[in-house]
Amino acid sequence: MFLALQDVASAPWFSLDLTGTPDISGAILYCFFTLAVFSFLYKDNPFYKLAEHVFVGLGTAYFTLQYYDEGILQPVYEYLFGEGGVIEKMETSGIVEIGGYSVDPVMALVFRGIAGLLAVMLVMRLFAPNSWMPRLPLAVMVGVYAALKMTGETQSKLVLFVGNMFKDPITNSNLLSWSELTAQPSWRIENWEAFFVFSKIVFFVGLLSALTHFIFTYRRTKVLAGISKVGVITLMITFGAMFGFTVLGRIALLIERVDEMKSYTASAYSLGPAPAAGQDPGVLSLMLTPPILISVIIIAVLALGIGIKKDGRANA
Amino acid sequence: MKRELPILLTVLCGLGITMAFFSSSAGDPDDLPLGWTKAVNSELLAWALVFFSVAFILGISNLVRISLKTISSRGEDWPYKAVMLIVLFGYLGIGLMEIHQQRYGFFGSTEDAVVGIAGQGERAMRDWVYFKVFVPLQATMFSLLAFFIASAAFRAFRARSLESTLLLTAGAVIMLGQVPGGDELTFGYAGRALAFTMTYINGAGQKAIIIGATLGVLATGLRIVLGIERSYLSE
Amino acid sequence: MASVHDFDRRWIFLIMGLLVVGLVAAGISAPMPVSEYVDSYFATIDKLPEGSIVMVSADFDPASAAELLPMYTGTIHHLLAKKMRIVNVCTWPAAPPYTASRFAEIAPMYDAVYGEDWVELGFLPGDDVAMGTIGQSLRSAYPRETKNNMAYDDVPLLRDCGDSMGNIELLITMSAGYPGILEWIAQVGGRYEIELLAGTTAVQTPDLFAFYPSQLSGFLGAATGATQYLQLVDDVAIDGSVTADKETQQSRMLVQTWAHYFMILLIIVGNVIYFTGRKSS
Repeated sequence: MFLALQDVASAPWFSLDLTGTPDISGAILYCFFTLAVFSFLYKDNPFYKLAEHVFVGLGTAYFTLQYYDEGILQPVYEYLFGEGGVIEKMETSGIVEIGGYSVDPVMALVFRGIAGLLAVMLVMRLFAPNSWMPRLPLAVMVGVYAALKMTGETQSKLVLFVGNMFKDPITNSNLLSWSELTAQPSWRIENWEAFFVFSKIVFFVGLLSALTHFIFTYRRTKVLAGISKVGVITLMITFGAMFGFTVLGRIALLIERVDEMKSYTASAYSLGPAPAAGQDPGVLSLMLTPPILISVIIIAVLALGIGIKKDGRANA
Repeated sequence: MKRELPILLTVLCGLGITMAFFSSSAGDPDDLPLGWTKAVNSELLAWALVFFSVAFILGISNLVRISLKTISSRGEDWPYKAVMLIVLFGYLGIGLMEIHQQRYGFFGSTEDAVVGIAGQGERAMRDWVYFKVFVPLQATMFSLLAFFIASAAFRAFRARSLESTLLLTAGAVIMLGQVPGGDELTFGYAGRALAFTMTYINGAGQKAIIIGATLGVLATGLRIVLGIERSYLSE
Repeated sequence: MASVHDFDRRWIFLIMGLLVVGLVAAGISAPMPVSEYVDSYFATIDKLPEGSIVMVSADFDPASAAELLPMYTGTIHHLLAKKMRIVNVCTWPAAPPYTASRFAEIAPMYDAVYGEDWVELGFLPGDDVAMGTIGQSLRSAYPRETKNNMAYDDVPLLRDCGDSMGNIELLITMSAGYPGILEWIAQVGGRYEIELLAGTTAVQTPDLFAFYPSQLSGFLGAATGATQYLQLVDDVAIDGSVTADKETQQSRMLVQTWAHYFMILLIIVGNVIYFTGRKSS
């Protein structure tokens, strides 16, 4: 996994214990599917197509299982019929707590029963795509989501947010200084007062002009167009920052992929004969590790494919 | 009625959740004047959670239907579609067995199960396949973007106007400021420029975007909760 | 003059690939300076009293694990080293295998007892709804924990949590996108006034500058943040248990440096070719 295992002495052929040393069969699958996806960079090919379809099949199955277990089995079956569930509470004349509020078990059963019924209506979409029944659970979902989003977002991203917006840059005079733990003093911006005043002006001008650009979209007068232009500049720099971070993220993923492959080039994963104790495994051992062996096979097959195609064209 | 009933349901659910938001959150709901709204809120959230899951699972049917059609008509890439279905149902089978074994011990005592990552064996095979096949596939799919972004940088990113020049410059500053060597290369200025850009200019831009988007969420939310917005009911 | 579009982009792929493979094979590493946001993240956890209950939400998948898993690993080490009690939840379905494997590896190092020092509640579907449910009532959201399928009230740590978020001192999310930190801020941070920390992917990092420091006490942005944080955690983790992870991250950041130089070079060369071509035509 995350730990690079360059110095592994020996690896099992197959092991379900995922905290120990990764197994060789798993390493082969891991490297094959990684390299099969990378082969797309050359062109679309059977290895990539296989990887793509396995990904869709496996991904769909994995997510389905998670939703089935945590979204259906737990809140419906376990909630009603499980140990300490509503039915058991009904028999023992207990109380069911919903959101911390005490409710009679019969009421709880009725409520969740309605949910079950509506869920069945949703399934009706499979058999009668134009039926009105799936609209009811859909309506519940839309209502719940809309209200939850509206209340939560308005409070946190409008009311509290706007309040803090004017507070943060003014009260927090240390926003630009790096921590005391900074190893390189060059990363610090000295608490130079005039610079901070300038920074805050940049912030407020940028914020107000960008807001103006978003909100006052009608009849652009000269003044409004000027302010809007400053807003656009602020937004473009913001998008530039987002672009820079996106590059950072994508390259980080690539580096991790290559680093993971490197961890499987340890001699413990070599499919060749094990070297004698204390002896250098040698180049052959390295060539027979999953990442290199599979790379060679994929490249060879793709090259062979080009050769066959060229011959075919020549003969045609 | 087929149209009015769903709208009524949306409005009732929306108002229920909104009411719970405004009732006091501190203290035991049993002792609060509007404590019952907490129960309504919690139950409605549980409903939405169930529907969300059912809707997701329904998505499989489409995938299976289209794939079966391609296989039966020997359409393009049909052998791959067959592999996809085998993987899908194979993994579903393993997963269902493990879930039911863990919860209800359908296949004998759970203690007989193989040792898995949590020492219980409850999701051993599922997780093995997940880490050995799904993880490399998904992680590598996304890492391909590094190559495409590099190609786009060469072929498409042009400093044609003031705005695009600023965008590219800001991107370059962030790229240099975020890595250890970039700061040294620019005599320590990349780190400072990064801090200034991110905190004050990006901060201003992001805040403006967030406020604009939230106003949109508020307006749309109000329209839905009050039953004015009905487009979600159209086929 | 030839247009950049005539150039086979696979040459760029090849150079990029060779650059990264070559530098990863070299395996050189170098320390990084720590930024203020990372320092705040570290200090927020560090200042909490022993035994505080911290909720950690793993909201990521394999596509973002390269950036977020090191942060998650560092955070679990940090929390357990400081003897905090962890309630682990996931709002992304692909996260539970990661959290299970991390805890299985790290918890024994600190003699942490399941159910008392940490508990795994697993995945909860519904995105915003899941977060709303967790905030409203943890017991309703998770009637059972996920590892041993024990009832909520049979787990000592969950009993101490009670029903609401009131007893949870801090909420940390490893956020890869939607749902993630922005939704936690909306559904839980603001409503229940809980202090929040986040580790995020590079793509989401710029958004967080808008919430720091008032609504977000600190954050780890991208692989850079992960590296800086692991440098700090290395001093508090038991027996150098994160040193290897830290060095791996540091060496990856050095590769990242050269990849960024290459990207900037591509932009410059692409523009030079474009403008020279335009002038001559």
